[in-house]
Amino acid sequence: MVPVILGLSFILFSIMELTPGDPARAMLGEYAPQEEVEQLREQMGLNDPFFVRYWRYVWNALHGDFGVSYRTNIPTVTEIKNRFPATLKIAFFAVLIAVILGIPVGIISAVKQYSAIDISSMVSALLFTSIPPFWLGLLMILLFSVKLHILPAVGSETWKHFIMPAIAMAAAQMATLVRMTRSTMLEVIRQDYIRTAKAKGAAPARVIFIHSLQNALLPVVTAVGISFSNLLGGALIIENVFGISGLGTLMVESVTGKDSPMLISSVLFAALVGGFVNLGVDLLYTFIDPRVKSQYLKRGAK
Amino acid sequence: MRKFVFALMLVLLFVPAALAGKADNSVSVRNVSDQKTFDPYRTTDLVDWQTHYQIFDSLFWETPDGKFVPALCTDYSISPDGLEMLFTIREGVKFHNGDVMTADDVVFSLNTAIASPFTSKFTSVMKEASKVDGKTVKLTLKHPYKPIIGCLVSSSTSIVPKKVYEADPDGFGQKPVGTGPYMLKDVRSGESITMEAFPDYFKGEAKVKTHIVRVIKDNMSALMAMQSGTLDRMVPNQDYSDRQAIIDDPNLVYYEAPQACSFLVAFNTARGPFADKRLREAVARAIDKEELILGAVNGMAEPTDEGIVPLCPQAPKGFKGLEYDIEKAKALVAEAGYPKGLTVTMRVIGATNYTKPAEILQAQLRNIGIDMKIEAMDRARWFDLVLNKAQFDVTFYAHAISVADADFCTYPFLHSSQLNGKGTNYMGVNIPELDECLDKARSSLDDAERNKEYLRVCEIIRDESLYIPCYTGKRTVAAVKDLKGVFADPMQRYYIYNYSW
Repeated sequence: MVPVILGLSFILFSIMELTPGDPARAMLGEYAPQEEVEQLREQMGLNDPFFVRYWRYVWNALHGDFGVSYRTNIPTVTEIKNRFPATLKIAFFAVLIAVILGIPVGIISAVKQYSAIDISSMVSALLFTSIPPFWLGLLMILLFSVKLHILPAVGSETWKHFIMPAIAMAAAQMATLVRMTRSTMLEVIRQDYIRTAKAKGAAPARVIFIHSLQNALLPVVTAVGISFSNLLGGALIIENVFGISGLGTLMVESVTGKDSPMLISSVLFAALVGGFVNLGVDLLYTFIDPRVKSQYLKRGAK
Repeated sequence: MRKFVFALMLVLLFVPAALAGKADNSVSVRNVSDQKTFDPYRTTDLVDWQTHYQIFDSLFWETPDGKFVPALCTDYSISPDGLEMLFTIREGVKFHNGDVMTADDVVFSLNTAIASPFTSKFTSVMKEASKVDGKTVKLTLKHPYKPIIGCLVSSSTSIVPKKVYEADPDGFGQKPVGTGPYMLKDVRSGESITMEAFPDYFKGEAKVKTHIVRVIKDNMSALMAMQSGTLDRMVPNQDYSDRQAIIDDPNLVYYEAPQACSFLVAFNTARGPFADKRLREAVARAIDKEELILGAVNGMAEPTDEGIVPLCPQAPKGFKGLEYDIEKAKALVAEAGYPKGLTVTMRVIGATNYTKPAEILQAQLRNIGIDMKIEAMDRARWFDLVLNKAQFDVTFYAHAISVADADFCTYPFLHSSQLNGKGTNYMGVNIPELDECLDKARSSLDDAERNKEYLRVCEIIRDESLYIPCYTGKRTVAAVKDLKGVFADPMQRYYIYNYSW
């Protein structure tokens, strides 16, 4: 993880350096005289050579100081701390909804292949993958806030505020999960050992949940992990639509405001979180996949 | 039965969310971006200013009809040479922390504003503030300046408590203390700001007890938040696309005011093809402003001929620009040495209020043999290339004013002292007669004399075709019907203190 973080910080630093626009100018506004912009640049240490500034950033970061936002003058870590909970909540609820609805529907579709349930769930899955989340979000606001007045349109003060954003985010993930669960289940169901299990008289529920599902779940868990870490990186469009401030808006604001410290810190944070989620998924494998488990055990034995 | 109880529970659970601001005497407004700071001296952002107007007071206030009246001062005088101003400080004004405002606070605030690079738009003319006695403050100017009161209305010259600001200048931006009608209560970073009425406000406690500012980036969801009662006031889309939806909604009211800027075609008059005056004049004669307005902003603008924002009192009335004349324009292009036409590039900021008119202009200029390529770019890049480095042939831009005075839309753009990055004379204008007019108009305190000078300025802009003023749009505000005291302001300034249910 350390080389990833270091490399990423270097790339981000270079990108912010190479893209046009001057942070001092962005702060002072369009009509500020050049002299004053120069003065502020000097104050901010922007006139030092690239590597000096990069080294200063790394050195300070190693000492736990990730800099202060150019735009707001607030420490970047504090800002991330303020914004991350909203992103975490949306991501968590979205994944929860996707898993709770997606996997069972996928299983039913697979078990009852080509039935009416299967076809209708496949069609709606296709529909949900194709609907852009922001559009779904706007439609939901129109229905639940403007027409029915039962959910708040914008903000993130209470749990009610999270219902619509989470569903809007979940829709596409859920559709992916349905299709994935269905296809892997279908593959597993055709395996010899399932026929054996059925032949030896195991109950259908046991065949589905123990023999098939456990084996079919592996790629699904990977997919859930990936989508969770993606969502944790912030969901700009959903945040914009629902007036929620998460990591996504923070990053975009930082890019447009030429706020390099804020951008680097928030992207690094997202990378870190993504890394940990992937690690968590890998660890989860040891519980559900006996092959992986035995590998670890063997290595341990050597 | 069970189903019914469940449904009832659901309804009961959700009902409070639908209550509008009227029920709890609060006003929620929309901002398009987040608050950067609450320090009035460290921002140039309109979005920040709007909140500062609620938390702080300045020496002067703007009334709904656009007049400037004393706020934190009770009286003022200007010396005959126009270089010194004396303010009598209002007595018994309290800050949010309970301290009484003193002359020292006013002196400190003004001097901090003068020293800050962020406030130069309003303070560059000020030299220093000093204390005369316990209730009198003197402000010295670098030269006489008629629009000075307008500068002292700005939130950039807000009055802060010296003791609090000095104790922690960096922390002030997060824990502001002012004399204004509202105190900052809670900030949800990037999402909302909650303010509460200050009971000891010197004009009496505000009628609206809670003021909430919400950051909603998406125009559609902001409008729906208005319709669902979460929001009470917003600034609608700049391209007027949601205008009809708001007008048609019986619960909403659409307010309009003239915009404090002129949209214009600006040339690089120092380098490139448009250094030739004939070519500039050709463009001026080839633009059909009515068609441009219709195509670019759905007809929601007024054509302008004068080179000064029409809102300024100095803008000459009934001023006529060059006449639309395609044949003459074609002849001018040929005369300038391009009988077969030429290709130029227009660099614009990649936002619809610049790209849409650019496309119409492209079509109009094709009529006279000018093939104009449009290069739309990021705002920051445009400012770097066009405004700072003058690397452009022609652009479409808006000259905006922060105080309704012609000085704001002429001097920084046209005076030769503002060339080469010292100011914003990106067009490379260097005409001694123009400099003279601008200097005279700037330092004169006589309205008639200033009007005369600015008329001459407009004539020079037209005769030299320095830039082509095209139109001025409308500032708009949408608010729920029951909210009183709302109006659209050209500078987008508003005081929630004027609002009531």
